[in-house]
Amino acid sequence: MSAPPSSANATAPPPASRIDTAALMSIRSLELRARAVVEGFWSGLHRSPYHGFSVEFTEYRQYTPGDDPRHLDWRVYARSDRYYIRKFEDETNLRCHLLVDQSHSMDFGTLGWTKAEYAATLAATLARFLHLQGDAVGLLSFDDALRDYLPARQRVGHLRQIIIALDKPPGGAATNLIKPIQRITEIVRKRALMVVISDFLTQLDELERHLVSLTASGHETVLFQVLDPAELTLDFATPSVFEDAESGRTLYVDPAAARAGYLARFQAHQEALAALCRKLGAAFHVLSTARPLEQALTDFFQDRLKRGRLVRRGAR
Amino acid sequence: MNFLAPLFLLGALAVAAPVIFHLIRRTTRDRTRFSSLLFLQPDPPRLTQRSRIENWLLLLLRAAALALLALAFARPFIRTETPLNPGSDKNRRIVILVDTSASMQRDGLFPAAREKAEELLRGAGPGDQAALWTFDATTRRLMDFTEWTALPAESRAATAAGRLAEVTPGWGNTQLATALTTAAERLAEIPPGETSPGGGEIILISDLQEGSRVEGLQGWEWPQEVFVTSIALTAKQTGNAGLQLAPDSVTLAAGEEPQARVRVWNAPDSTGEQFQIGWAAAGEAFTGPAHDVVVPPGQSKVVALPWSADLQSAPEHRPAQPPLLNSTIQTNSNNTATSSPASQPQSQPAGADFKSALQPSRRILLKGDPEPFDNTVFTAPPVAVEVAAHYFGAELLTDSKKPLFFLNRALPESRQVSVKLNLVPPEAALPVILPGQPAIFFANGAIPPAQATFLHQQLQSGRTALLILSAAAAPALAVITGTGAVPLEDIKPTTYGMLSEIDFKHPLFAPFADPRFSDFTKIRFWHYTKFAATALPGSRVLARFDSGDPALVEVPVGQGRLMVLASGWEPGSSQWALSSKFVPLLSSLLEWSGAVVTPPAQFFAGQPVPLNLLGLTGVGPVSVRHPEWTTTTVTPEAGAFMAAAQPGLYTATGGTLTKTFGVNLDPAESRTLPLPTDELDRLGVPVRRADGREPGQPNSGPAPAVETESRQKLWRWIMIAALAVLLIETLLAGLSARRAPAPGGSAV
Repeated sequence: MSAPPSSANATAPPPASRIDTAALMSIRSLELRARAVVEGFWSGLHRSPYHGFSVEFTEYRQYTPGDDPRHLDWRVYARSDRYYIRKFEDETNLRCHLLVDQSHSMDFGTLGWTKAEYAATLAATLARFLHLQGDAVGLLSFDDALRDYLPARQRVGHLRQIIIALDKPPGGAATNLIKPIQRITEIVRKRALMVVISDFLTQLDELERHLVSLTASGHETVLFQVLDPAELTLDFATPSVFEDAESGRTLYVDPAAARAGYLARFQAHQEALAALCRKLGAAFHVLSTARPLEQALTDFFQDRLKRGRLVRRGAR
Repeated sequence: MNFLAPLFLLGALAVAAPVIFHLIRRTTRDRTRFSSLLFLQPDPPRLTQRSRIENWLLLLLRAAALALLALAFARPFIRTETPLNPGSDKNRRIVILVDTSASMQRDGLFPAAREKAEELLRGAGPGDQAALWTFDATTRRLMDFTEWTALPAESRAATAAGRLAEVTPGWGNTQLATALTTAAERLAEIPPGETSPGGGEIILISDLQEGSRVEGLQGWEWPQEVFVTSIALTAKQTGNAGLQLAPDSVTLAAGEEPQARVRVWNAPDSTGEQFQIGWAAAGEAFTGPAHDVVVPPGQSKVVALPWSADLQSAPEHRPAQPPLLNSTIQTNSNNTATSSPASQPQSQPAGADFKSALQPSRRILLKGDPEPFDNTVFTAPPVAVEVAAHYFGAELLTDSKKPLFFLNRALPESRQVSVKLNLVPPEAALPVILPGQPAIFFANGAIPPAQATFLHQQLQSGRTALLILSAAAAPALAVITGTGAVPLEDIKPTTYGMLSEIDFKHPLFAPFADPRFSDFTKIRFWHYTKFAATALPGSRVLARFDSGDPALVEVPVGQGRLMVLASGWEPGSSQWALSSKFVPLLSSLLEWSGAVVTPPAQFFAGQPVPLNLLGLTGVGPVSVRHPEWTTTTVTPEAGAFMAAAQPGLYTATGGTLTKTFGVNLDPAESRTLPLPTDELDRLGVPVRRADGREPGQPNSGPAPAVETESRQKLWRWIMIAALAVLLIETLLAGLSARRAPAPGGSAV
């Protein structure tokens, strides 16, 4: 995963290649949805004038007996008459863990599909994409407790298990982000990519401490915040009794009157979350469920490429 | 403006409905599921633009439509004063009818009626003619027009009021139809000195209870220029429970304990439903165990009270202080005379005292009802009637080939009626029969002349005999009927004879008149005696043989009658005795002849008591002892005892016979619910106003509300107005909808 096609990500795939979100979400099978997005994304890549590399050169080192002679750089040998071995970034050692929120708050949507379905599609797409690249992908789904845990593996059939786990309906009475982060920190000792997909509609007090522990463990952390357009604008026409999807608490709300306050509080929350991510060096992406997934993926990869360059530059 | 159905005006409250609905919409019950209420805060309802009424005109139009609809349904009318006799300046003629029926004994009713009547009498002008009548089962004239006009003008009202003051409600039922028609006929008479009917007004002062008898008004042609003003009195207390003897009140079935069955009836507007019932002693105490009865309002329940042996045999107690009837207006028919014991004090105790002083052991009392006037019934102890059937003929009871054998088995025998067969062989002494003693005679064929003469005498005094004819019975027939010799001839049909031309109108065959029972063809006659019915003067052929010869003939003899049967009923002569018709026919004969009399369980106060129903015919003058121990003598010509004016046990004595019978209040009087207001209107009575009016203004008054309303029909115009408003509203709403097609933009 460490090698998203850099040149390919520099330019977004043309809009014509994108699949309409509504059409995509109307596909019942999560696996098919993921495949459709990934294939569309691939085709977008192939139409790109730039051809990417699947491996990144990092450095040379002197050959020692026992090294694989395939990795000898013969050009350098021709120039210097010394054996050098090309070193590449070890892709297969990268492990990605998808932390997917399946709480009831994700079971909300005004477009015909819910945030949970969108998040599942996103996670499945990422998993498929990574799997096709030969990366090991794991899954930890959660609501107010941990639900399914699949360790990061790269073997035949693993992707299928991930998709089955992602296809489960939402549950739980609340969103508890602490437990999964705490748990994954405990389990995964090796550096990995942690992708947290949630609506993050929860208090952020405790989250910071645990995210710190996650990033401090060397894990690269990416936060996908999946939101419905109605949550972004509170665009409801008539007053009604609002019922909390998780706790069942009800509240009479006149959207016209409550919109300003809601947006102010929501914006403050978003800014606090973004600030937290900046502080911790975690990538933070807000995804509206109305947004095409491919575009979201492209943004993600672009951002990731930029971030990777920065990291490498800093490393040098 | 007045309203016929003002309650419909409540419908105008619906005007508030559009506004309320609009406001209710503000506090919607719609639920929206939202992901998290983290960023939402409670929002107190506020008046928003949506809550404000935007189109006042539409709102007003809709409110006006609803109000108009409510107004139309309330049936408005404008009351107009209409003169009673337009253009007439004649002096008034008024009959004031005051109800004195038993239901007027209820608390405060009769004083109110008296007050109204006196007020009307005082309001009569010097030129007016007034009559003051009272009515219950009978109509009594306290003062008529002639007497009114004969009196000095200044003393008329006082005299009439004085007479009314002596009257108290009696025990009769409310014969309202009779009273109204009698008064109307009186008003329709042509006054002396005039050429045309005077007309006038009947002012009816009554409680107009449901039990009033108004059926007689149906189809009665009401005279012109006679109007009725009804002043309906309302009792202070609603509800009433009544006690009445059930139709089969006294049972004497074999093997069963004698029981008196009474029905407890509770009016629909009663508040109580728990009562006590039992045999009553003096005062208001029960002699035996009281039965608790629960009768919900509007329902009735039949209670059986065992008639114990001591009650049956208890002697009647002469009241220590003989009470009198409350009402002093006694009706004595021309042929009855009332005598009171010389020592009887002429005091008039109250109704309750009167009732408690009556035969304590034979009255049933109901407790728990606030209206006491109908809480007592009297019932005579059950007495078995013994009838003697004398059979003249030389036969043995065991000879199954003779008529006597079958007669003996067919005679009815029960605890209530017992028919004893008395055999009178030719050589036996003649039976001794006391006057009034129930008896019937049967004779088979030839009987000795002495017996025939005896039968003739008995028939003369009103009894009945049946003669089975044979050719040898010609002399006996001649003696019994008192006519000349009638030629008789024994006939033996070639096959058999059958009955035909049966007179089903005759009381003897009337029970068989129904086509289900009228088939006599299965009774075949092997031989009979032919005679000419015309030879017996006054005879009536009740049935003939198919040959045309008479089979059963009724021959009047003196006050009695002889039934001549042309054939015997034994199997040797016919199949009569073996048929299913024999026993019913015999019972019919016994009842029709008067030998078996089953008196009704009770008679009603104020109504005649026929002597034949008591079995007291042919016994000379009958002396009837009243409950208060006075005596009335009824001559046989009168045929009925007319002075049963009050409830109680009466004892009639005629000859050697003594019959006790109970007289009770008519159960209809217990139905004290008011008569429907339009009932008199429905029966064609020109009622000026259903709910009474101010006394003293009889010449003019408001026309009946229903009539006025139906004449004015204001509701139609209001409905048209409502439709017009709705039309305008529809147009306006359509226009505004076109201008502002946004949803939810409705004004109200």
